[in-house]
Amino acid sequence: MTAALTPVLARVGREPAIHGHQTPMAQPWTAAPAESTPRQDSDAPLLKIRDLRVSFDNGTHRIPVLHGVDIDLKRGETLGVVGESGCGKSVTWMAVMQLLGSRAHIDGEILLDGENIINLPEKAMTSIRGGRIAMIFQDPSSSLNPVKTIGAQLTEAVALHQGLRGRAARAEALRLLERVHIPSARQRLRAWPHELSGGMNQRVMIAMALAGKPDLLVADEPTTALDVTIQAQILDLLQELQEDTGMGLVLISHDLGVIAQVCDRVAVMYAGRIVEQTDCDTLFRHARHPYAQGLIGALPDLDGPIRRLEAIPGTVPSPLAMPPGCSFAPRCKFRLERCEEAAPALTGRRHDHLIACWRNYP
Amino acid sequence: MNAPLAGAELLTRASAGTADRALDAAPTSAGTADSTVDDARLALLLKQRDAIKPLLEARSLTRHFRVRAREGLFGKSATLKAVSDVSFKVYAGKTLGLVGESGCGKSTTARLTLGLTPPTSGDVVFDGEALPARRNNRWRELRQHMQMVYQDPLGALDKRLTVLSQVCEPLDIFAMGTPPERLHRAREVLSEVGLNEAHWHRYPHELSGGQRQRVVLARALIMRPRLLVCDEPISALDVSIQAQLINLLQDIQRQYGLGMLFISHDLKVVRQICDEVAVMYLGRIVEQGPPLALFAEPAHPYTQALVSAIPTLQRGKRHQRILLQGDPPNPIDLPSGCAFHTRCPMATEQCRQQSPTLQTLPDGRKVACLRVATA
Repeated sequence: MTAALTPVLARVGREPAIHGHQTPMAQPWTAAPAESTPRQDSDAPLLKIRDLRVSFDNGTHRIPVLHGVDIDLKRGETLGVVGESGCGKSVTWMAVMQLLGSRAHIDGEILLDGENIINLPEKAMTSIRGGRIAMIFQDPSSSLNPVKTIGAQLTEAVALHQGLRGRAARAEALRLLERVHIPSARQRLRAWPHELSGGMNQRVMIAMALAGKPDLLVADEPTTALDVTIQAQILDLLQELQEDTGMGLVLISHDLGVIAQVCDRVAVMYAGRIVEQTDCDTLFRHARHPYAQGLIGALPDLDGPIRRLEAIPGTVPSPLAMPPGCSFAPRCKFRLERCEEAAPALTGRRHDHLIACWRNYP
Repeated sequence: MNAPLAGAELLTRASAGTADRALDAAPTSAGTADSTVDDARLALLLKQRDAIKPLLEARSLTRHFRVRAREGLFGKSATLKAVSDVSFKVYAGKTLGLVGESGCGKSTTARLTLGLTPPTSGDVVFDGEALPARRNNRWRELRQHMQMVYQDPLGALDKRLTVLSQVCEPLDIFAMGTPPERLHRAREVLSEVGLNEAHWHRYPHELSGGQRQRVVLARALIMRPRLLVCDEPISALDVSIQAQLINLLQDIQRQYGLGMLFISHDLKVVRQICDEVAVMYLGRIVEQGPPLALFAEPAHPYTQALVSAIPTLQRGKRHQRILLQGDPPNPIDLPSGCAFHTRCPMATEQCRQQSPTLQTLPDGRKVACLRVATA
């Protein structure tokens, strides 16, 4: 498998202008010395997603939900993925983890440290899932097994990913609980999920995710079900863990504020495509895509005078009835004739600010 | 605390004619206040309004629930103090926001206000008339004027009724007008909330989340209520749809001079929509005042932490948050003294023993904190 991929990798490394799209998206993570293999190079992306397409089979039709997504993620970097429900932000990462089930058809490339893990056999995937890439979900209380103690579940994860048994496994479980700052951790090992609050359960989930010493942690709406003061605690914990371990962190959220607080870079998704991708500051100050601008304009402020909110008219198109051109065109106030004909590719004059909008083309 | 209550009592006993005139005046004062009023003007307005009779007044509302403290047949029962001594006023054309974290009693307060849950003590006065404690005929009559919008529209709507018959139903129940008139009125309300002919004959599952919430809103508005209680009306919606509904709610309020009790955990939304905010923690109001001042300079340490914890775009990564330690305590087993002292960075021995009451600050805000009152 690896051998077959080497040419692809080499090409991507040397000629960044060719992948996925015919656009100058390019310059993946700037000039990596040609000699060094991707695995040793700390600047090479940890994860590289190219032209990821997902469609679901409903028995009669294949319904495309992801229309070619490109993402690069370095070690130690935090990427925020933001968008409204149904935009494909979760599907992207469920596809990476191969959690979508048999009705999903996944195409494209998902390179983890240079190795394509797309459609890997289940056996090979189990060592990556939870090991090299870990994931935490929105509702911690339903992600945990209600009829097993916290200790038993943590020990199981530790045994699975680190091969520890007995006392050593229990000691590691305790260390992980302390690592996520759960007070009186030794007692909590004997607690059941229902005895802990939502915030505490999310900490347990994070501890379980850490059991595999992951290179990449994908957090799918980790604080959406939590109160704002607890959310602040969990976001702080995620940031602290990332700084300590140097893992890559992907934060999926519908809340631009949460993304702004934690992430370095952000990808805005709409109807199965990334429409804008740049660093947080640039996006929030100089968003270029009308949808990204709309999302920011629709948020009430916490200071300054009260203004009327700029709502985006209409709703997200159904995946069954996608417009032929840009999927945002029906709601866009800057719509051009071109927008209804073909979907624009994600591109930009600067490699760190990419926009999928025809208005951005010369 | 007693003096304003006595004043309100006097007002409620005033003759019906005076009350009506006072209420007629209320929407006009609301109309002149555009959404960009500064704090000074707002404070002035608040003062002027104190002379006007409130549309709704909650006086020392308290609700306790008996719960089983321990599992099993012989488990001991305990008292869960969901809401303790909560008082507030809602004026016509104005919005009072109730904010707080889950379990702080904001939804129970909403149910108490409408009489859906009878209070353990305290009472609710709507338009000068005490809300009957039991759901009798008079309560039903009053309820026409006070409607509720729920968080989960799919749960609030009848899955087997089309939009139009759903919205018509309140008129059918109160037998208002002839059937064609009812339909006409329903269409009118539906177009007011932005739903057109294409939506009339759909079922709730055929609508998007935002459209469903519009149907719930239309159903609440068809009785031409004077008070709207919104319990997290937009929390389940996407950001762009949230903005649509916030704007819609504000337009409708301005048009009809509706009084609103707006419950939310989202402080940014509350700041956007409310004229006054009450912050609740474990069943009590800990701070109350105009939103711009309250969020700019929160006085209570809990409000300070709450405001500081809100993630916003402007604050970004470098913002220093006040991190509260731990979770809120169990409402069955409330701590002694001030309920917040277990998580409060400013707590002293006094806070552990003495529970604070709402005190008025020089700028008219109310705060329940021993440290702030003594400062």
